[in-house]
Amino acid sequence: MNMPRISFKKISFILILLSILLPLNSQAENTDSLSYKGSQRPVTGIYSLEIGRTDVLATYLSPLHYTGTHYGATGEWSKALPFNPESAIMHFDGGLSFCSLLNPAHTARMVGMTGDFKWGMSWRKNLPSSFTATLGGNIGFNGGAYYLMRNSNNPVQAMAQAAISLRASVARPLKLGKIYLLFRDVVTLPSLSMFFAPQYGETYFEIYLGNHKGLAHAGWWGNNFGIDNRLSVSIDFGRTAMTLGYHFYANTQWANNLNTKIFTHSFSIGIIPGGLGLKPKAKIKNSASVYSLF
Amino acid sequence: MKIVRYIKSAILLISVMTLLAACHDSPEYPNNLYGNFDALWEIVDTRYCFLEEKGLDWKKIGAQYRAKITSETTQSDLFFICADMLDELKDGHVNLSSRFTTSYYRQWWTDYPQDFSMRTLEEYYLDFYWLSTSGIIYKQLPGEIAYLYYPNFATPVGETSLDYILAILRNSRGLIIDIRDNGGGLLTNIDTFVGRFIDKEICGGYITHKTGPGHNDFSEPYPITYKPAKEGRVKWDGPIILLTNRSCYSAANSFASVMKSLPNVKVVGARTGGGGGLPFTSEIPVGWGVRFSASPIYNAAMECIEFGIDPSEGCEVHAPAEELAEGKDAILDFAIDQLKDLPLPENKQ
Repeated sequence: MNMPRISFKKISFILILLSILLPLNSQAENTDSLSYKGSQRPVTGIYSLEIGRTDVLATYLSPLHYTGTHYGATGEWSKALPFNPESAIMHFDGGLSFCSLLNPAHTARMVGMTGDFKWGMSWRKNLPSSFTATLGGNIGFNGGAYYLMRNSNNPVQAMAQAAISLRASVARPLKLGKIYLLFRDVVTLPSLSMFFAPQYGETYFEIYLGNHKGLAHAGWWGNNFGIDNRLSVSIDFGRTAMTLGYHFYANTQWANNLNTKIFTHSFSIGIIPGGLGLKPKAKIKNSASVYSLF
Repeated sequence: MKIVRYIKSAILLISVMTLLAACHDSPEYPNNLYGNFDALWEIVDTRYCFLEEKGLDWKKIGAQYRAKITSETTQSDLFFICADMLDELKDGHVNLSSRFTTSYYRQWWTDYPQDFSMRTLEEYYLDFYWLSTSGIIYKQLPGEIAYLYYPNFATPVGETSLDYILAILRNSRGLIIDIRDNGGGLLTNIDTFVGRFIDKEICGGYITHKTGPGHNDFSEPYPITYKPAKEGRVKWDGPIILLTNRSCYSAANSFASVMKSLPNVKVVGARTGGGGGLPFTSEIPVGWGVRFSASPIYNAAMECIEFGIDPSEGCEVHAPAEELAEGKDAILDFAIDQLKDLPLPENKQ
């Protein structure tokens, strides 16, 4: 497997940074999300733009790895649920991405466009040292296509997958001087899926004509492994918040002797309208709101 | 400490899962002389679809050409070594494409008589006057014989154009469809044509796909069906003669295969050039593209059409170059002879 070398450096750097920063404020503000009666449950939305690097192996198109720039736009919305706002959270994630890639010799270009959305619920638990963890699941769909311009009868590899995923997150609020921060990591792990993969030599025209045999495959970690990890630090300004993050996305598929591997590392910047509720807002009782991110 | 334990467990879990994903690694080759050669050899070995039909010992062929690579071999030398190896496949659908040239196996037509001259057709049979639309040349020949020449399946055939052609030629004893020198193109054009000659859905052949790296790893054959043209379109139910030569290839070869299975069609001329595999494209680390037959196509009797389609029984005819130069097209003459005594369609006399 050809993992881009840059990923380990970036992950290591962020982990080291976290390990330095987290102990700085052991008295991190534990925002009072304990009072539920009559509480508000605002929808927390995170809107981010991403840029990074993608490595794509799609053997329906080529046996070579294509690498290049990834651009993305994502949205995450979450909300505490009314029946148990302290513990139950509903979340919806969506995103669109585009990539422009070259083969190792830079003689051919591939472009890709993908989109995804996921809906799910999680159970939240407060841990010691102001950590908050969630565990849950979601159902989602992602699809798109990779287009290799120079190919004759196999110029496009279509991607489509519906999956049930595990989802876990850990978050920790932190106050550095007058700055209110939230460190957060969210991992999504597609576990059972149905995914699309044609046979080698099978054209989409033939599929259009009616040859649908062997196109849908039941997936599990052994033939359709993927992971979506978003590590972020958000700065709460009160009425709004800014988030900076690192996003690692991997999706691998194996079917019909065809191998597909997509690895993306990207940095993101986004906003959270309404803020996180970490920084006290004037004239608003903080205890009246139950936020879903921490 | 609990948190550290959680993190350790998570890291272990992710490592195990990553290993699971790594179980299906594809071979990767370095971008050097041997790496590129081996990558090309492997693509053909695992993806090319006619190694068994052609009785090729691909391992032996690979070893033979790999031995030609030496420390003196340049990149352009490598190209020609690889191209020569690919020529062993004897397949006109196989090309190696670099930025300085593209290899091409030509012997499938150069080693055979041409049996056709466009100039002879235009001058002595069409009298330099014809109608044309959608890349089709057509005319009613003397003796009320309909003739159309379709030189390239890459030119899309419009349904309305075909309506006009068949309507204009309708008052004829028979239809000659000439596809000599047609090197192929879009398979969809076969549907457009065949739909005018059938009144119910037919199975015109089968296609299979590679499902594994073995030379015989193929999916179940999938029937290629053809439907009659939609209601209101002009159809042809009279006799048809299809003219072929060795330069009919790929889609033209498939068209000949389907047409030959129709009861009112005779194929006249020479065996077609073949090209019965659907070509796919791949590449090797140096960036050269390789095109090759990936999916075999069979006729309605599940016979491989890679090696060409024979004329109908008793209809093998050749048009010698010296006769063509003198204005005589023996293949076209044979077809005209077959049709000239047939009655005109009753309702159109």
